[in-house]
Amino acid sequence: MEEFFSEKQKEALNFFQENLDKWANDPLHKLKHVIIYDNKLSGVFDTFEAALTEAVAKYPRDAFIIQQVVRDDEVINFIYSAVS
Amino acid sequence: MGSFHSQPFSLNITPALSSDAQVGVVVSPLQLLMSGLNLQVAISTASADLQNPGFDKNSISAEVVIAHFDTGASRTSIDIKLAKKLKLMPTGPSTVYTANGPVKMPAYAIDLHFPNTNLMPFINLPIGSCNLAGQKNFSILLGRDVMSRWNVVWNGPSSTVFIND
Repeated sequence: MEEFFSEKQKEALNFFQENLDKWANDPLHKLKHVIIYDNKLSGVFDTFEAALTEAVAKYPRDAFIIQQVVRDDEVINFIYSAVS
Repeated sequence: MGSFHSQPFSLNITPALSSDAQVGVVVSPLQLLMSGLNLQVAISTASADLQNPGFDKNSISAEVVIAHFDTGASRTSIDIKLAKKLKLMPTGPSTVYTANGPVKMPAYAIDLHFPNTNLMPFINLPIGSCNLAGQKNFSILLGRDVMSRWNVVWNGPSSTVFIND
């Protein structure tokens, strides 16, 4: 999959993965759409479209990523929480 | 409100029939049974991308392709080869849950229009991608993200579908 991303996007992806657990436990970031640019959290938004509109106006198109703060196992945890 | 209907037949009788003529019309579930629902969509660079200062407006690309209704997909996906052809820039990775397990693929944002209908387009729609190399007939899988905005009436026995938004 790496062949689809620029070097700056790969760095942004690594930065996101390194911080995902921390942000997923933070109610201000959990489930939000975040812009990662230049190895920094550059914006937190309620919707993907809001994040995209902000990011494309400010940053080179191949230098940022937008990710939702959700862990891969989030759905399973939700079900567990609902029944326990 | 926009609408679209898909029906596998039309009836045009010329010259006009005599008053005692009988006409039989046979409808069949076969088309939906064999192929599911496929419709034309026009896919293009996301409108938001036009606001990017470095965006080359001459590089805007759009293509009319066939999209397949996939109620098993939570999110709409594009064939990765089509994404490359349109020179779409990924917005990040997403996980696609396939029959062979989860696969990480790039995610994109697009505009999606429905030609020859008056259905509302989807602007700046976040989509996933997948490998549809084995599919000759369609390059987009329409997911529940799109369907959840529509009222869909599916008449299986006649292979007729009505969509309203």
